Amino acid sequence: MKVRPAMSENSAKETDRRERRTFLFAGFVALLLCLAHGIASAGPVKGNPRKGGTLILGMAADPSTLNCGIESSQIVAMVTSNIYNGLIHMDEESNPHPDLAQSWDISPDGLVYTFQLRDNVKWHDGQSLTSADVKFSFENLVGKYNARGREAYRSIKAIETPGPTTVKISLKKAYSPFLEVLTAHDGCIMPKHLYEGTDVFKNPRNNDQPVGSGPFKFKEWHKGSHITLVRNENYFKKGRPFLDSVIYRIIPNPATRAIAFETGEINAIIASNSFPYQHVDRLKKLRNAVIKDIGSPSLIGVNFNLKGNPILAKKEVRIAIAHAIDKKFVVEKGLRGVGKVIDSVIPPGIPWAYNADVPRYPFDLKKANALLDEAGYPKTTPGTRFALKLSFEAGNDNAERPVQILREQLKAVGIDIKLERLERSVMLEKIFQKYDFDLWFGPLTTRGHPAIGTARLYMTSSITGQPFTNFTRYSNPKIDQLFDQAVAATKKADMVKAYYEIQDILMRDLPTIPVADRLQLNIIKDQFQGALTSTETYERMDEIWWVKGAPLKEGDFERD
Amino acid sequence: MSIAAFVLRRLLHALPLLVCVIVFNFFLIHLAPGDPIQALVGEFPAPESYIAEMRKVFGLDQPLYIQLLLYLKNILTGDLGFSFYYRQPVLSVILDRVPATLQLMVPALIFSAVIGILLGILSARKPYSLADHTISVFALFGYCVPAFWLGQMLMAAFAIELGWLPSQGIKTVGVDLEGFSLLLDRTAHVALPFAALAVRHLAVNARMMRSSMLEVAYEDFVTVARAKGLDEKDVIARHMVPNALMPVVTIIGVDIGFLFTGSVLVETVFGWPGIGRLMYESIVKRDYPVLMGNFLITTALVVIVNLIVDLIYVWLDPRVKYNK
Repeated sequence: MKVRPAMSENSAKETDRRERRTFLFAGFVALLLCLAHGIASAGPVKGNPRKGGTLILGMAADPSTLNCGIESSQIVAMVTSNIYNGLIHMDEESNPHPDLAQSWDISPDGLVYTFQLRDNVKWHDGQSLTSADVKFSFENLVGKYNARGREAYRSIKAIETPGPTTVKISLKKAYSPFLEVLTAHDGCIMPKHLYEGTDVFKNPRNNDQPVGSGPFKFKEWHKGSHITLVRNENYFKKGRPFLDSVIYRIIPNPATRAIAFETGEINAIIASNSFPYQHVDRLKKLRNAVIKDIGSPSLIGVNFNLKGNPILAKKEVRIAIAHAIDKKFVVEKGLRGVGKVIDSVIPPGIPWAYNADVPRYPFDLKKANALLDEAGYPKTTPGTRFALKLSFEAGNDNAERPVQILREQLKAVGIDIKLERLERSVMLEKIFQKYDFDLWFGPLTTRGHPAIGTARLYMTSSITGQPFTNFTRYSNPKIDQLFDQAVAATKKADMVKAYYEIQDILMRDLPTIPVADRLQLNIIKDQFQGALTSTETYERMDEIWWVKGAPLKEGDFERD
Repeated sequence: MSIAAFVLRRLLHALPLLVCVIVFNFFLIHLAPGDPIQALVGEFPAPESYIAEMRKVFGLDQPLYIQLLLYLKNILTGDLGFSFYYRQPVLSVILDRVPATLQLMVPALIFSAVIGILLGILSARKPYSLADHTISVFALFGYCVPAFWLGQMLMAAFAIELGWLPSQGIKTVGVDLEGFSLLLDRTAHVALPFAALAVRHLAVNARMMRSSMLEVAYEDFVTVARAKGLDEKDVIARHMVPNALMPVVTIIGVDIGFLFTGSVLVETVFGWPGIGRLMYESIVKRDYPVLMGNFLITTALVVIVNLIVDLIYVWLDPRVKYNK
């Protein structure tokens, strides 16, 4: 047996020198990268944009309206966020950037937000946008009708407009995620001069010729076919947008949407509800196209009816069911690999709030069986302990296949699952209003902040009988208190601590078995580049450019 | 009885029918589970006050019979209601979709009527010949194959593999076309949905015409026509075809009744912005007023088209008289 000689002093020095050289080189590269990054991260627009071109997007359905003051669904915001502006916009890491507001100031107690608006903002009809429009929108439109930002807008005490470009918003109590709702999606600013004194639901501007302040102007909406937006030449951000026009092509059938992308009739599909997930394998093979996972945080899981079924009211049963589920298999086969296994109700898609150190329930049939025996449900008739109904939304690709797998997995521990496939509007009534279910499986959007997406599911005050509120009817004063604490926190560390504890408690009580974080896929032809990584890419069409457009010099355009 | 009196009497008969259809549809739709307001609100919880306001805006806070009476009263004034989803008058939502549907349905129905009848005649001329068998096989295939499947196959072949035709939509977006290139673009877009839609109608018409022709082939008057030495072409064109057309006209009449409803499947597969898709989408969204409006227009059309078909009978067959 040959023994390796100990390293001579000489060779040790040699290695040392080589290592030092490598280190220096690495440092140099790192420095270069930092510099490059420093330049590129002057704002959300990175790289070398060009001017010109038309981007055609595939979309699953017509929006119901182009009035973002009364509707906040994704399909509406996809279009309106590019016609209108919010006070701020968020990048992929939930950092606020200036939009209509060029700067803002939050008082130390978190109660007063003061925004300085840009002074060069014009509506598409030439009128100036002022603080009065902001006040009007918050008091009469988004602040009143936006469903997602409800809590935030309810916490507003008063809105003052000391000057045409100054907006001062005072809150009743500190609400830490307040900025989250001030984006074009949930806080779009609408023209007071066109909406004041009108019936906001029937204002003709909702459908025809909406007048915004955003990067693109409305050109036409041929219902069922397409919506065309064209460049706003007088946009307040210098050199933006880069594209000449954006066209939303409405293609209801997912297979046709995939084909239209293949044939080049559309250039991109950028919205979770429009991506044809059934065809993901085929689309992945396409050349000249980029599929990106933009990780829209969501919670796909098994939700229990805690008050409606005495069996499920027992915690041991819920834990046993958690042990009986092979999440990895559900994600790989059920979700076609388009998802990540998760173990907490706050998904890792919200990295700052996600607690990785919660009680976990690994796939373990023996343990599941033992727990069910202990709970007093022995296997009686051949192999069966009890029967449960598993409800889900018909046609929802995040549920249709996974529930089939779950049925088989739970059968293995003697639970007889009856699948109940519910058409959406029936589901909304049956599950969320009448609580007529045992288990419900499906996706729940969590958005970028647990105060918006998670609190609604587990706070006692959220047991309201409305869609996607606390429908497991979980109620725990400690959890209520922690959620309240989190939104009132003025220091981020306190907020994070509260959310960590919330996850720990919820994973012990287990009103929901988290299974997966759905990936939100975007697909775009590689001749279009720009901000395709943010969670709400569709809101930022002014950051996308066409590689065949005319080159732009640094300084000719704003990056933020 | 004059033709005017006949038309008037038929229209008067149609009135109670229309009212019955409206009332029946109204209750049928409201029997279906699912709340339109909840469907409208979306994934994030809405304030109670918002939901209450929405109910009021759309008159859903009233008892059902009041809603029905209001609806009937509005129809009399030509108001078909207000769409929950689009927040627009129903009539304008539907009328928006009419041109697209007509653009697809009119050529498809005319083509399938004319060619179907011709194929049927050709088939019946020499029953069980090679031509007859070929047409029959084709017709059976066309009749059995589901339109959405055929649509996707056509798409795979002509849009993906060959790349000759666009896969979906009514026109190329983002470019302003004029004159001949506009016509070409529209034709290219309509080609595949047209084919998917026409094949079935064509098949039904061809089969119907064939059997109807074979039926009259043994009638006495055909024998007489032949006996008096008429040319075979004249026997077919003057004696057999007019008589054989009757049942085919009935079928085509029924088809025309659905002219304004479009085809749900074909329009959805090809992203065609027509009424069929609107109907499907309004079911999913529980947009009752649009759904009701669609039913009403369809019913009215079927009634009117049936009347026209009856008039055509009289013209085609002198034995039929207005008074019976």
